[in-house]
Amino acid sequence: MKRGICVFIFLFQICPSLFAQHNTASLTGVVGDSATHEALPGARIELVELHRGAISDGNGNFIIGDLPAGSFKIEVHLLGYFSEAKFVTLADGDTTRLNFDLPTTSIQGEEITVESQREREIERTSVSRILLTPKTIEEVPAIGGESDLFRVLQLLPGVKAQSEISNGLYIRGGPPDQNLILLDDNVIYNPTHLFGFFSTFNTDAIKSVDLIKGGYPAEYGGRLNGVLDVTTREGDPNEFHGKTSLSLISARQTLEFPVPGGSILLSGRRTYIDEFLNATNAQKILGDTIRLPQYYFYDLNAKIDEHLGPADHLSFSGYLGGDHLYYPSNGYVELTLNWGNQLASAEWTHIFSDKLSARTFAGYSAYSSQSFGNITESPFEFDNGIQERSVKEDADWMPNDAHDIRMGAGLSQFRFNFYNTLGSTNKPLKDTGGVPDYLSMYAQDEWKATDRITATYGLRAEWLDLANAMTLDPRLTVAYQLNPLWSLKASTGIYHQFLHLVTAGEFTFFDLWIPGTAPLPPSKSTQYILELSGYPSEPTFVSCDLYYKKLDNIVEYNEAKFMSNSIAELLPTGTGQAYGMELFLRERLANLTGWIGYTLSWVTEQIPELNNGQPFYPTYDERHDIQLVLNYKFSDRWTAGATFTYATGQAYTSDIGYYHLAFDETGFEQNLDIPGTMGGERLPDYNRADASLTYSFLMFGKDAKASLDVFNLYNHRNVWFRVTDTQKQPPQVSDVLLLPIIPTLGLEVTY
Amino acid sequence: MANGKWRMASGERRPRGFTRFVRDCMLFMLPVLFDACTSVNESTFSPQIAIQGYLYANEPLDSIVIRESIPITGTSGNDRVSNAIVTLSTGDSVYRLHNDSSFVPGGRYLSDHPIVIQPGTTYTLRVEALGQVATATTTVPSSIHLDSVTLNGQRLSLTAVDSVTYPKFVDSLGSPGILMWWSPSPGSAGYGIEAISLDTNADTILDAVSSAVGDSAAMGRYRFFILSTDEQVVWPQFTRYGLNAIRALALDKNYEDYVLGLYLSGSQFNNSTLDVQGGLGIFGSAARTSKLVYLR
Repeated sequence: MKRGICVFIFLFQICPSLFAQHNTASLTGVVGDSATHEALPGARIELVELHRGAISDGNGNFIIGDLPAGSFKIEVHLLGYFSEAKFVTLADGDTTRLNFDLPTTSIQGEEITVESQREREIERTSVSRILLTPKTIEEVPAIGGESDLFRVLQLLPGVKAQSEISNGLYIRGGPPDQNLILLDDNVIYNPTHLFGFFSTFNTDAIKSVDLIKGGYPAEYGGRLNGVLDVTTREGDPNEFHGKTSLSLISARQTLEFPVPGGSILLSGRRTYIDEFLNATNAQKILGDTIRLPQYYFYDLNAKIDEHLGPADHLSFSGYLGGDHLYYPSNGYVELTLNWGNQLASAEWTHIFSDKLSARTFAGYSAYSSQSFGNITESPFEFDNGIQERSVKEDADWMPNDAHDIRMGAGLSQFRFNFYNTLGSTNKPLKDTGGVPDYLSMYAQDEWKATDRITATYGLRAEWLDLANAMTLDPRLTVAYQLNPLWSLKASTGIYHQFLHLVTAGEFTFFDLWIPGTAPLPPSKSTQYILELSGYPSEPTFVSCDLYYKKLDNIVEYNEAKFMSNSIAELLPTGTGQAYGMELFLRERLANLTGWIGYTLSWVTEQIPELNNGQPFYPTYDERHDIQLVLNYKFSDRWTAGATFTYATGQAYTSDIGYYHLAFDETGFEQNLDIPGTMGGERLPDYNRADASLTYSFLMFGKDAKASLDVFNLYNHRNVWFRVTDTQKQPPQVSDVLLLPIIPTLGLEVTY
Repeated sequence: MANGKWRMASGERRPRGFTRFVRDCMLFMLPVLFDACTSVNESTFSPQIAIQGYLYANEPLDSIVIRESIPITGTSGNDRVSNAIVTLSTGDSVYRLHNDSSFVPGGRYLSDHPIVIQPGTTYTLRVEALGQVATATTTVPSSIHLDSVTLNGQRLSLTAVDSVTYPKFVDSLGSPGILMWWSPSPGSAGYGIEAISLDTNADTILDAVSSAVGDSAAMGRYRFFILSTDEQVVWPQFTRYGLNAIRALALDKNYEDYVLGLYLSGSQFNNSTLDVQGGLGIFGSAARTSKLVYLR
């Protein structure tokens, strides 16, 4: 197999060079931001006299080959930036390097979130796809002073959270495990901290966020639902920069500096509640009656970028994040929980010509959780984890202006572990198997059939040896340009998923990934999407999406079988469907930016082992959901932000009755609940507003920002879940409430 | 929007049919989407038969208790069903059980003649009441016997009542506290051990047992159920000093499902796993063996 991979990489990466033409001049370079020196993708580079050009790639690189010798004017254009022109003289057979640093401009007189040509192009031809910048994320009010990517995404139509306690992404009726979450093309298996309260993405290290809510193209795979593709930003290749941030719960530090041929970015954050409690001797003050748990989480992001030459770019990316909770002994229980992700990847991009480039990727991703301790002197340990080692090769070939062909293949090896130890007994979960191999291949073409019609069609093949199943997924998206401002898009496709997640829902620590094996065939979704989007007036963007998703072989956790060692009993399979409509309006006025989203949606599942085999609503089924996000810039110093969410109640299972039962001769008696239809009742409607105020100033000559964030501005205690206590007479129903108002302060210094 | 009309950026008027086209697309798609929807039926309460029946290998049948379920807004206390037709059958034998009229709450059904439950035999219970019929079947596990018992490091006699010094605090208890070996019971779904305090006036050893583990708090008893014979139990066992019994049980599937259900909270209790067709409750069986020990 390894030999096969080597040959495969050779064919992709090396062979095309044999056919590359080198008997004429070439122009290459990088387009970057003059202030931040970040690479700018999507810039248009034009040789004015020749009417030839190229678009910079994701790393800002461009290359234009097959050029005649001579002197030419080169212009670079990118929306949100001043255009720049340079003159260059090309000699026959030479490759000339020319870099551009574009200064930002303003739209309608204000510096606002930059909307690039690439973003516009994606919105024109892609379906259900939203790009976010770090600036957009930071503008949204935070909780605990921590800007959080997932909480921003949950303000978009079609994206929900189970609750404000949990941070998992429920996209178009799909639970978190049905979404492919990538950090620098590496899958991250548990992207949360604090049992799901925060995401693992440190916003200081994010370059771009690409969310595809459905109908994603063939280059992605392995999940039924959507894709979240997060890219770590590169360091400044020209000079040292640093950024220090303090919030109520954490400190963040980012450093970036140039190295020969490239740059390095290091970013980290750590919560310090545990250190605060230690420093204040809180445990001593409270005495032994209350045992204070010690908790922290941390993230470390690193990225090294190296431009090996005009056509070669090498990057290394790493992420290390973890949570640690220690609950000291109270005489009966002592508990330690450790969990986290480790990711490392290397990526080599080679540009053969302005028509052909290739990318080689090797990555490692692991998630593990471990709990151990003593309960009344009885030791126990519970471990679970997943490791993935992967190699991928992708090629991008643009034979002419009408076609952009991408193809690639990847191989992943998984390793799963799960066991619990009680006393001296190890008890592995059965049927998880050994080291399954996962192979994928795809080919897709973005074809500009006419000036008005663009079709993206592709085919993806996947194979998992444990499941001994191969799947073929055709995918098609057609975009029809109704007029210069509006486009109508339709998409359909088949999607398969081999990995399944056993989760305790709200608390992600217990997340357990298991591979599809004989009792668990690959899950399948068939999606249909229709989208109308456009720019009714610059720069207003609106979209309306209708979607329908049919689900087969989806798995649900059967809590009634929680003690079972059988995967088939723990995870029964069934069918489902999700459908709905999403409206999105994004506005960028002079000093006011923001968006309004509305979602109308249904999700139903039908699993023979649950709800007497009848269809039911899962707990994340919500009928109506409205989000409002606003950011207003009062002056160069003062900025305010606000969000508002209103959602009709989530589905829950209520008790409709109970019965009395005694346990043999002991006299022990209890009332046992009789649940109604699963998801048959609705919690009260949810509403919450958050707000933020930011003041920019100079501190010791450095740019600084002080911020006040208020979570749950009007202190409306929403209902988390509802419980019925049938042991009381008559039975009592009570609500467990979510978070109250939480104001937090933050400070950020950039140097 | 400008002057109430949608306009393109260039100022050019939008094609007249455009708005109609968009509207027509929406009107077409919505019915197509929602016509394919699955409807979820809401459930409503209606009283059901609730069975409580436990059979033990080589022991006489005690009783079968019949109740009816109660709406969530109602109170318990008047849930006994005394007019049910209850039969217990095995093979060709059918036993009619009668309501014990001497038992005031009612709903307790006894056999006219003693019935000794036979291991390896399948029993079927049929209950007709409330205009409904509920049935359940159990196959009694084979008998088991203890091979050895070690308590806090001291091996106990299998025939005599041993006297054992037992620590006041569980922290001082050696691990494992009880080490038991018993013979396998072919056909059983799982096993359990329990420690039962027979002297309820004796001093307490274990003050608090989690009420979340329902039956553990009952009547000075601590139970621990396990799913295989190679599992080692290390948990605390006794709630009181004095005379105690250590017992091993081999459970049939119904009994095991019920025990596992006890660990589930509130509405997560899955009645469909309790193996009573047409009703609720438990009709299960077990084989058990005991060892008496005196703790001081």
